[in-house]
Amino acid sequence: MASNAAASAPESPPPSLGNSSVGDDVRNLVGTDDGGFVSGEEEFEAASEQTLADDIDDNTLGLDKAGSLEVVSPSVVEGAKVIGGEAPVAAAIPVPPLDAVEVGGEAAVALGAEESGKIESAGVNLTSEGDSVIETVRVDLPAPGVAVVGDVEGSSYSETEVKEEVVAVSESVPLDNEFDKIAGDGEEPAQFVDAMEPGTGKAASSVGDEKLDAVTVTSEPATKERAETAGVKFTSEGDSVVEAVRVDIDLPLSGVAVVGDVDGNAGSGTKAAPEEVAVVNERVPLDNIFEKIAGDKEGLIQLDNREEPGSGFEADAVEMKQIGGEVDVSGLDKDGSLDKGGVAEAVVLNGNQEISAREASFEGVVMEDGVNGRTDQTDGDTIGQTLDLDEDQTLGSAVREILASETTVDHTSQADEHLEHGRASDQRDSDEPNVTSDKSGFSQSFELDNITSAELKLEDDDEVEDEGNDQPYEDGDDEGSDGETEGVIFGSSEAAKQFLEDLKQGTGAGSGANQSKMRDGAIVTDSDEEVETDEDEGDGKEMYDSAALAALLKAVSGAGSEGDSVTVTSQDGSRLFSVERPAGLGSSLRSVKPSAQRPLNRPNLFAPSTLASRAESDDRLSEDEKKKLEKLQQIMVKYLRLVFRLGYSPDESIVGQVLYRLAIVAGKPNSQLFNVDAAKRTALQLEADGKEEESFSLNILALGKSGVGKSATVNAILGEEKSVIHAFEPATRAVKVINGVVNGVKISVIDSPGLKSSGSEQGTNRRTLSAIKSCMRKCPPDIVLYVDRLDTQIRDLNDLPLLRSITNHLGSSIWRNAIVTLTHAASAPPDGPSGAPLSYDVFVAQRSHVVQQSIGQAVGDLRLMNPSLMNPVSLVENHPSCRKNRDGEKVLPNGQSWRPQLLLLCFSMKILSEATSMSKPQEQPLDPRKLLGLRVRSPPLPYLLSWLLQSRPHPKLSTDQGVGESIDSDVDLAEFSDSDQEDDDEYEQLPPFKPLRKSQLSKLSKEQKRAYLEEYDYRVKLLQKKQWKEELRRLKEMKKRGKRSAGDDYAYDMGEDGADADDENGGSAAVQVPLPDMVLPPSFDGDSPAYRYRFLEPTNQLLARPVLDTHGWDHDCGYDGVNVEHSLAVQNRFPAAVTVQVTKDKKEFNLHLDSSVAVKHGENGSSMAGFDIQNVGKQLAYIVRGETKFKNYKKNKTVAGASMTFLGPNVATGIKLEDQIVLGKRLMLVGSTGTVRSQGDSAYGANMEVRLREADFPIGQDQSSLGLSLVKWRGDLAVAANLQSQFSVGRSSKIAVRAGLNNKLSGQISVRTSSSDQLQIAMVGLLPIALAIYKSIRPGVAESYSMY
Amino acid sequence: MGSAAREWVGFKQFPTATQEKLVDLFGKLKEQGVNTLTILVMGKGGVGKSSTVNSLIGERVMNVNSFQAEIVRPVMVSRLRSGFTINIIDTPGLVEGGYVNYPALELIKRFLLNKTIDVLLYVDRLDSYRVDDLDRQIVSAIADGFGKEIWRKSLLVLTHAQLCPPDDISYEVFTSRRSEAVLKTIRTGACIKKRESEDYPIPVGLVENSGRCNKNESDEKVLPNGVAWIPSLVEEIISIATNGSKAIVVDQKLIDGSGSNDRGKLLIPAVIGVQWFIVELIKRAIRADIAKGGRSL
Repeated sequence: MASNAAASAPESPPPSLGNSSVGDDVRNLVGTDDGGFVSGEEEFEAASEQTLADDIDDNTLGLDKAGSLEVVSPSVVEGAKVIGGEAPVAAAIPVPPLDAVEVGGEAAVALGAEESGKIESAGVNLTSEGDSVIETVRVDLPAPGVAVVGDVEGSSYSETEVKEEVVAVSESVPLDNEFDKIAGDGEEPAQFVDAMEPGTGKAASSVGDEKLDAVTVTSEPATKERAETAGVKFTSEGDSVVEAVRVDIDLPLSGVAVVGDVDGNAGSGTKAAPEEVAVVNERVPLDNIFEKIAGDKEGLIQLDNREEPGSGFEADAVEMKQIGGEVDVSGLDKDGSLDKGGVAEAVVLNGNQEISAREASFEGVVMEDGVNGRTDQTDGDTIGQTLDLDEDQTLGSAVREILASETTVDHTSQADEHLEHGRASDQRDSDEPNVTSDKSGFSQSFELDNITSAELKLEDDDEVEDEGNDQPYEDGDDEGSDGETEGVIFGSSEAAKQFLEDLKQGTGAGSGANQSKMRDGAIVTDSDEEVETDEDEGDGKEMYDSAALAALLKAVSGAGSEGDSVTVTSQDGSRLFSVERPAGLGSSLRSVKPSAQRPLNRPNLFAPSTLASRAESDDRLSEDEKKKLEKLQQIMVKYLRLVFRLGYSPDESIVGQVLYRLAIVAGKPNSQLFNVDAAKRTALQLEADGKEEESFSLNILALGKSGVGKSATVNAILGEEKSVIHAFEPATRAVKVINGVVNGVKISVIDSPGLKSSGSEQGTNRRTLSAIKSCMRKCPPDIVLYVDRLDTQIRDLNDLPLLRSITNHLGSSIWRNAIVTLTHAASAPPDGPSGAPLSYDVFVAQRSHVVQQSIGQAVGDLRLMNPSLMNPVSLVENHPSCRKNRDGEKVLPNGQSWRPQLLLLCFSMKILSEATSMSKPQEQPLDPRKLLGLRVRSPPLPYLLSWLLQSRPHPKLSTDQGVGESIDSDVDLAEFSDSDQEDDDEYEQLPPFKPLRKSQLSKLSKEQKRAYLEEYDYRVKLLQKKQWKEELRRLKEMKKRGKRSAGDDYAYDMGEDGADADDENGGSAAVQVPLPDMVLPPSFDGDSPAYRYRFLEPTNQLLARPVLDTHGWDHDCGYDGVNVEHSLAVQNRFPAAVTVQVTKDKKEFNLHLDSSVAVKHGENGSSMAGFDIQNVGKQLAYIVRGETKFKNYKKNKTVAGASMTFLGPNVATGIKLEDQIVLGKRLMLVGSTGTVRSQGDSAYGANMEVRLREADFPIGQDQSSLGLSLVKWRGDLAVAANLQSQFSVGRSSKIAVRAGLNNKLSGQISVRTSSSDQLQIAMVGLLPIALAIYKSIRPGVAESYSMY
Repeated sequence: MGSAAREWVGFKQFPTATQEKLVDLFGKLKEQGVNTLTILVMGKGGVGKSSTVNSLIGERVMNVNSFQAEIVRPVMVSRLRSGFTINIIDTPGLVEGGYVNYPALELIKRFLLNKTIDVLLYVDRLDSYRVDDLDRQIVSAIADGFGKEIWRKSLLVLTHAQLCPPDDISYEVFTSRRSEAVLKTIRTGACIKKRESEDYPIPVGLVENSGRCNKNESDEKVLPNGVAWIPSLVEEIISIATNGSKAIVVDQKLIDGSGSNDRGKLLIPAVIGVQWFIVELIKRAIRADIAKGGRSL
């Protein structure tokens, strides 16, 4: 849906969502400020004339591409089709914002531009928030006008063009209205036009019902298509519910756009007419959706948009665009900010398909919104009326139904209402207030809406997919979902605001993504293209689900101050059901407002008109879908039965929310298979019959400190004293599973012993928690009750150690289904700061807050920022003399009886999790917390790289041991052979020399001493050289011999060689060497045991050494590991070496395994394969590597290697190349380079080193090396240089200098001097002693208390 | 704070009956020559220390807030009435984040420099149903910080005393069982032997600080057992103050740490001498060995 893309609002980054208020969003949507979007006013006029380009300059949607536009038409057509039942739902509205967003406001919704040329949907203005407000949808189609929502067939376009555009564009908001109007019937183009006059988008609003109708129709005044926007209903809130957008598109119609596009022809017609104004639809829904959200209406819409990047929404959006550009994609844009005035963002539907698809989705949305009609919101201006999504209304179906329904009259009336509301266009400015008021009005409602919309969107997406949107679905989905997730905020109005913001964020993100998708992707021209929004949606839905679920529950149990209500209005604008936010604790029983004549069950809404569509929709369901719906229906019946049993009515807020949610999961609000009303009837009947419900069971885990009342609560829940309680001593000593039947439900409760809250006793908790964990495996809990007292001090997070233990041992997922249960709930609140006792609600709220804070801190999520992560709170009172109500149930000071509420909450949570798991059986519910940024860690590539680039010697056989023989040897044996003789001779030639004794030495004069010492040194050196050469010669011999006696000498066992070999072998092997020097501590500290563990290393092939960690703490002895080395010959032919080092200190266990096996290729080549195990971070990494080394040109060695690392779920592969050149006897150059890659991320590195040695190496130990290393990773280049040099100064001193520097300008220099002669150096040690004395002498050193 | 004792105006707001009783009690004290009483109030956070201080003084001297820890450093409240000075020291809670707050204890000790403590009020809640290791650690910390003797001058105060006992236990039984549980913990934490605890038993005072406390016909705050608790508590306090044990004088030595063990210091030179002697013996033996021409290792 290119058009959608175009229409999509600029993908504003989510942040906008988050931050802007609804109003802003709306504004954005409307694009009042943006250049692109015409808030209707300007745009409108110009719609026809002005080049969209103007508007769109900044962020033109990719509409430029004709592609997008083209989509419009077809989509429009489709949209129309949907509406008509077969016509694609013009609900394409979706996303225009998204798409439009791209445009940055001007979603030039290229409505159906394709065909007719470019439909510049200037109309679609993506507000900066990302809402795409279709600002001007200019359809160059023959019938330009259309753009707009409900674009019409081409022909009509021309006529309508002017009008249309005007109309259409104008409003983004008006769209809503218009839709409403359209709902009226598209007959009055005139009105429409007026309405359109937007100039101020208000036009739309001004347009009375007629307008809407007109809108749709007007777009084609000529054409007679009546785009009945039946579907689009703008609830007063400005939700536009596209109730029935019927576009009689006989014409090529562009416009149809409208939600619920035109039936039949519309689709086709629209094709011709680029102007498919699917936009309308979009808009409508958008608004509604948004409005809903507004509170977050915007959000809502956005949700839709967002969601559907691939989903129909975009299409819708596109369609919307068509309408003359002023398609206000009501804030639905990604940003979720609702356009003000419901920009027909969505409108710009490219092609019908999109629309159709969208429409479908949109319908859902629209319908929902409309249905829900925030009637509370009287401000009409809410931007684009948010579509109150009905519970189960998928946009598509909604729209479809809308369209199908012929109840234009209804629509009209509703349209009126909507218009009122949807007068967004009119009062774009006032959107804000509207919004806010809306917000307050129904913080909850929109929450619900959000959920629904989100749901819808998600659902829609699904649907859409079916229909074949092929919008490339960006990850906007996720974002969207995020947004939704976030959006779902229950709670007080602040929550609403927050929700809005979240929504915005979410939608923004989502829509943005979507938008871009749209933009980039081809505009789907055929509604039947597959949109692979599946995954995204899936994810999003997942997130949504869990979040929504949580939010839902929170809403219900939240301690809201006001009783916001969520209202789902029917098409007629009457309330279908109202869920009111519970005031105070728990949910209050509020009945649905009487105005809702329609049954709660939405399906009725569409009943009359939707037969066709429904049939169609049902038919379109796959078997799976049908099954799913049936199952959901069963679940619903089950749930309702429980509700009745507990004595609640379905009007109870939490019940309503659950039903709502189920509807969303079902995705089809009104279907024969899934029907809330029917469920109720069935449930009542079954209850009356007394039939036993067999399959409902509930597992509860009670967890908490000792002495808070867990066992008492368990007894109270089960109704009998099954668990022992004791006032003074812990009574529950073991984890027990207690079974009981409550209200016909089998409940299994895991009662656990109390946990200790003091920090030092967490060890005992571990045992208890392990016991709990094993019990959980047998009886997995659906609900976790975290029990604590209401009346303990509510400051200090003293339970943190306990909560952390729980999280660590049972996993942080345990908090997902947790209910914070506060016992002693009937205690009187303490005195507040003023001296007067606190109010009960405040007391509970504050205590809950502290508990949530503690849990949040323990788990490590930002739940205080994201209310949807908070756990519901329930109150319990188990004192025998607690006040009881008439039914004998204990009541709290606020009048609620706690037990049924707790049971209802538990049942609801279980049902919801059942439902969500059913809808996504294979996916694991995403933890929204995970989305907050805890990513799977990617392996540390630079470390792996450096590990790979290490230069490793290949293992050698014993016969090859020694210098010069193996390929690793630095020293070329051959070189020595020549000078052998000379040196030997030289040594022999020295005159005899007798070393002096110390006493004699001291008698010499200075010069004599010096001369003596020089001579002495010289001789020593020569002797050493001689010995060295001897050694080399011996090795050579050994090698030769080894070659001769093929088998034996390969025996790796030293000393087992033949007798002749013995001397040679013995010579090198038998000498035991002391343990390699460990780093000794700087001073001889009696406590430091490093001096203890020095021993002679055996010469076996298996060596075991202790590992010293000098940085151990606690005056540990420092030896916490063992190092075992073993060299062997595999099959007597391949040398292998294995090193294992195991260290364990108080906290960690480290394992390091290094093994390699080598094979030689002739003289000059050798290959090695190795396997390593290491600790990388907290995990074990398994590294498999291989390399080949060969010598070419006698002085040059080249190594090529590769490695593969398995770190958790990640696999990193790397290759390296290394080269070593020896120049002369003293200089060596080594260079290596390599790369490691994992998960699309890669690190590159290179090392270069220059080594310079003194001529007599290894006798003299002077050497220097200069190295340079580079690592490039994730765009970050790290360069490090280091210099090492070691040389002797004088006879008995050595200095080692090391300096290193990296490109971050940090480095170190160290100079180490060791001397066995110049003991004067030790005098330096006196300095600190002196300083200490000085300090203690001088008074007045400030003591610093460690203040806490 | 509280160096200059102010007039005890709060005294006047006590109901007459209470005032009379208090006057009586303080009078007796004065007869014995005591005209100052210093009371230290300690316990973990959120139990009602500051509220108790407010109740005893009769004025709202300490800020009490359920939602955040009000007091971060010790505060002394001094009131003067007819030549009798009463000092009450309120302290921050000794538990922080699940652990004993040793820095707070240090702070309290430093605050108390050069003061003498006559009575320690160890405060806990009557309506907590468990005593756990943390309580024992607190008692231990107090004993370590001030010396074990402070527990001879201590009184256990249980707040939230106006409660309806659960499980059909009578009020008396409940309070005695709860007190016993806490006292047991105190004995364990401060390593008080049984004998000692019998000689110096720690009395228990029940307190109800909220405005909802029931009142009797004389308008005195009463507990569910009919006892007017303010005079009763003051009586117990005074009995502890005059029970014969030494009052705790907080001096620098105490603050620096009562951990220093002076035992056996005088033996050090003797031990050094013995060591030197032994070393000499060993050296002699080594030299003898060398003289015998032992092989070098």
